[in-house]
This record gives sequence, structure tokens and C-alpha cells, in this order.
Amino acid sequence: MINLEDYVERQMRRRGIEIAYARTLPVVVRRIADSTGTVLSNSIEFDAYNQFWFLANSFELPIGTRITSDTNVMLLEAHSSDIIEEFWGKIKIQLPNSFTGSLCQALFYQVLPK
Amino acid sequence: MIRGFRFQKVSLRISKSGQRVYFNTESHKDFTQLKGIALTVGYEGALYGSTFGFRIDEKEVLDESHEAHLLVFGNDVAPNRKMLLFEIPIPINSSKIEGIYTDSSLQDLLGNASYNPGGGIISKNDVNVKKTYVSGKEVVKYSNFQVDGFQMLSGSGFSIGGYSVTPAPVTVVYYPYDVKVTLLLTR
Amino acid sequence: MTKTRITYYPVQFIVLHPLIPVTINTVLPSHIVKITDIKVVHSVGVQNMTTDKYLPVIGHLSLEFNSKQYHFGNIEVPFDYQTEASDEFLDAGIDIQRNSLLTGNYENKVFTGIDYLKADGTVTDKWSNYIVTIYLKTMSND
Repeated sequence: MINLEDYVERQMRRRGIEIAYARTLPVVVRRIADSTGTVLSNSIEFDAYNQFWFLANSFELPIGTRITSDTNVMLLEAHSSDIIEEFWGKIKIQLPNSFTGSLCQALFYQVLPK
Repeated sequence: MIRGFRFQKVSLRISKSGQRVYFNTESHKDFTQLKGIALTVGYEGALYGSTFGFRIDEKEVLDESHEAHLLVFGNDVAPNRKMLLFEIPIPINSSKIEGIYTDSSLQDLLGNASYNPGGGIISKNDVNVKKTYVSGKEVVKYSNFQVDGFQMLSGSGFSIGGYSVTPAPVTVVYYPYDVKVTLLLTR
Repeated sequence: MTKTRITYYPVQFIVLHPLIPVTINTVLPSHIVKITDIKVVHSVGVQNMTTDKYLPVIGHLSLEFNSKQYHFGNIEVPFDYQTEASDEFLDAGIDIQRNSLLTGNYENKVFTGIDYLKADGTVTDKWSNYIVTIYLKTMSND
């Protein structure tokens, strides 16, 4: 298992970027369905421009979750704690159709560069 | 006194699907710059997936996997308008010019499922199937191109990972067909 | 001193599944010092799935240079099976650090319906793998 904070610090140092502020931040994705079971919404979209967001809990998200951003697109195919994905810009988290719960929490490590 | 431009040509004949044709030639001694390169290919369908590599004085200009359709000009376009033009001309001085044309070389890679799970970069070793260029080789006349029998999947349908797909009509190619390489030289 | 000159460096990748993104991770050869222009084209494969000769976008490609220090942006990849296809390149002007990584992601946007994808997630025989090539017009000092 990779230590996320160490990994992020090394990454940023390698790229010559100084970290101004960093924190972990949960993002809740809701699945909303009407009374007939039709899914109205199972995704969330938000802005993370000029920031780096690292996904910290991919192993807790349902298989088939798709996260896209300006710099990255990932499809969760297997649960592993050794994959660290990085996002920048408009981030969209899309739950798979097979997910039938009502909410799901993605945990990110948010980095603001100086 | 020679002025202006010269279009130097090399003709290649492709006689079967998947064939690789190598040529070498020497640039005209009165011209010192290579400004552009273009191909003409007999059939539209042959353009896609065929590749053309090119090098001068044993230094690579186009990789062997450079696609032929990016070097082809249309009927109503003057060759020097739609060539691959080099903004910084390549200096030549009776230079050894070599190229390799491979018919439908990329189609063969489609069935490669080893890039799991969704796909990935194709290694240069897969694209440049054989070591083409032999260093220090004597310059021969361009009509003496050498041919090898690199046979690939051919016919009306080709197989991808065990099942068959019928290509769109545009991919129909009749063999043999001719490829002409045009080099734009300037003083 | 060696003279810098233009070369074209293709990076090819294969797309095997309509929904799974492709990750690009490669080291550029050390003789490449600058990328002046970029062009991304569909090479082969999509023509097996359609009779159209032109699709404006078959996927999106995000590209990062110099080991993720520089995000070039997102490029739409068209399918253009016509001889009149554009030859234009995108301006880039990127100075390349020696032995740096070229990274990126490609997301397919076409042929994702049930005709191409079975319920178990595997592809049907209507799907065809396809190849996309990134052409880097580079300054090389080899």
C-alpha cells in the first residue's frame, strides 16, 4: 500500500510544484431514482481547476465507477489499493448502472499548488 | 545553369497484400535541400494502414510506421501544395535516400489482444517488424528495389481475434498497384 | 555539434474495448528536443464498424508532456477515411526534457451500444479493435 501523502509530495517535488495546501476531502455521489426505479441521477460533476485531486479510496467504490477529468479518465475494473489516480479540471464521477445503493463516498486528497 | 525546383521520383510496385518494398536512391547533386515528400498510391483503399518510412544519410526522417495516407495528395491539388513540407529543409548533398513501403501493415496489428485490458501503446518492435535498413550498404539504383515476402492476412475479409469482419467497400485493393514517391528538391 | 532537424515520431496505440480507457505511458527518445506540432489520426479499424467515411469525433485524448509537468490539453480524434482529409497539425511548441515521459489517456466515444457490447461486458463481433496514431513533429538532434 502506497502512502498517499508521501506519493503526492514526491510527485509534486518531481514536477517542481510547491504545495500551498493539501487536505483530504470526501465527495458524496447520490443515486436518485423515481418510484418506477428509473435512475434520474447517479453522477456528480464539480470543478477542480488549478488543483490536483488524488483518489484515495478506489477500493471502496463500486466496480465500474468511471471518473473523468481534463487530464485523466479511469474505469474502476478491480479493487486495488495500489492505484493512485490524479485528476485536474472538471471532475465527473459516474456510478455504474449495477450500483443500486443510494449513496457512495469518494475520498480525495486535494492539493493546491502555490 | 540549373535553377529552381526538381521533382525526383521513385517508383515502387506492390504485387501482393502485406508486401514490404525497400528502395534506395541518391539525390541529384545540383540540389542541396529537400523540401518535401509525397506519395501517389494506386487505390484509395490501399492508403489506410499502409506505412512509409524514410531516411536520409541513414538518419530517420519518417518512422517506418508513418501512415501513407498522410503523404498523399489529391487529383486537383498541385503536388507542391499538399506535400509533406519540411519548414526547415533537410540538407542534402548527393545523399543516400532510403525508404520502405509496407502494404496494409497496421491491419495486422488489430488482432493483437496482448495490450490488456482496454488497449495501450503499440511497441515500436511490433510496428517495425523487421530490421529494414542495413548500415553501410552500397547505394544501388532505385530500380533495384528489394522485395521480401512478408505475407499478412489478406482476402475479402480478415480475421480479428478469431472472428471475421467484412471491411467496408472502400478497402478493396487490386494487386498489383504502383506507388510513386516524389521528392521536392531545391537548390 | 550536430544539426537539429525535423523528424516525425509516431506513437501508436490500440483500442480493444469501447468503454475501457487507454492509458498512454511512454518515454520519448532522447534525441527529441522539441515538439513543434502534433496531429492525432485514426489509423485503421473503425472502417470495419461503419460505412461512413467521416465521423467528427471517435474519442478524446488528453496528453501530458515532460513527465506530467505540462498538460497539453484535450484533442478530439476524428475518423476521416477520405483522401481529402486534412493534413493540418496542431501547434505545440513544447521543449522536451531529456528522457521525459509522455503520458495521456484516451477515451473511446463511439460504438458503445448493445450492438457492440454484450451484457457481460465483452465485445460482440461487430466491434473492431482500432489503432490511433499520435504524430509528433519534432526537432531532433540525432
